[in-house]
Amino acid sequence: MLHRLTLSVVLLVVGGCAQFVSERGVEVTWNERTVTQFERGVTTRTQVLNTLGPPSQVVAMGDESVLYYLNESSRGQGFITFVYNRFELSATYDRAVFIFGPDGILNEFSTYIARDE
Amino acid sequence: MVCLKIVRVFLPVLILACAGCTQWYYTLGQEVAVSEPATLEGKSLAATLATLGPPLRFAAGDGGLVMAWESWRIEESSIGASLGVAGADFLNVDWGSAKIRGDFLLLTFDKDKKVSAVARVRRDDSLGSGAAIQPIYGFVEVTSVDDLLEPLPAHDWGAAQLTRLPEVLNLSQQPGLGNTAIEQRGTPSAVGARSQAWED
Repeated sequence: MLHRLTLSVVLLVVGGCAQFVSERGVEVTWNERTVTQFERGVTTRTQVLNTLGPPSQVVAMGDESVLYYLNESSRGQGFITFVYNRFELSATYDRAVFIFGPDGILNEFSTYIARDE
Repeated sequence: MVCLKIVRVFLPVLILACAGCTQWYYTLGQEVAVSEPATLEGKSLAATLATLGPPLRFAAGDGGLVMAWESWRIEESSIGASLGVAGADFLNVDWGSAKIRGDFLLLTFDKDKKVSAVARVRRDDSLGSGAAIQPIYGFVEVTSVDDLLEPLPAHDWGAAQLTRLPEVLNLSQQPGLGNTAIEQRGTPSAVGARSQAWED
């Protein structure tokens, strides 16, 4: 009797759990080793494209241009019970931005990888 | 024995009441890495990127660059219960609320790529609440934060270039796709730049 009751309580109260991962955007290739190859005033747009691949976004800025790389990673988990459900979702944004002058030479860049923290 | 009695009493009440609570917590992005944004005014693009990292949203217009960084924590809670204990088995009562906490930092750059304006929005407030009495099933959501959870617009850039001709012509009016404008999460689509965007 006690076992049956315990089992009922467990089934009702401890329902289940869930875990989910979602990745959007381009592959994160701008790691520390790759980024050290890039040099302001020297690296060309072609070199960046050859190294990192097609960007998420290309923006024209007058004579200048911007390559923007973005990876959006969402991770979540939750537990489901008969009376209470709780879900946590956390999104991180790994990104890199490269700004080129009219001659296609790298003027400015910045990168960020959240997982390194 | 006492425990068994409590369980025996508690379980039927619980089942009769059929009450349940659901909570969603969303964390979007990391904290914006500057405590006094006003100190950024006049700084170069290079120094700004070194401090804040690449922006999450940006646009390049005739007036110069516009960049934004953001970090949000959104909480959505809802509770539902059957009105069976009141003799109305077919009715459910639902209540929900949502709130947001975080900040949005917007910087504009002049032609020399120096920070020309700084604006920061800090939010720690309610996103609203709702209640409903519904038959059998919860047909209507009493809270919704879906518009605040949309992926960043940069993901849409490539696909947007391949849409049908009328839509492509209106891309410049689409905030977040690189030209003219950026917008905050949850901006209503019927106002501002979006009112010019092509929609099916």
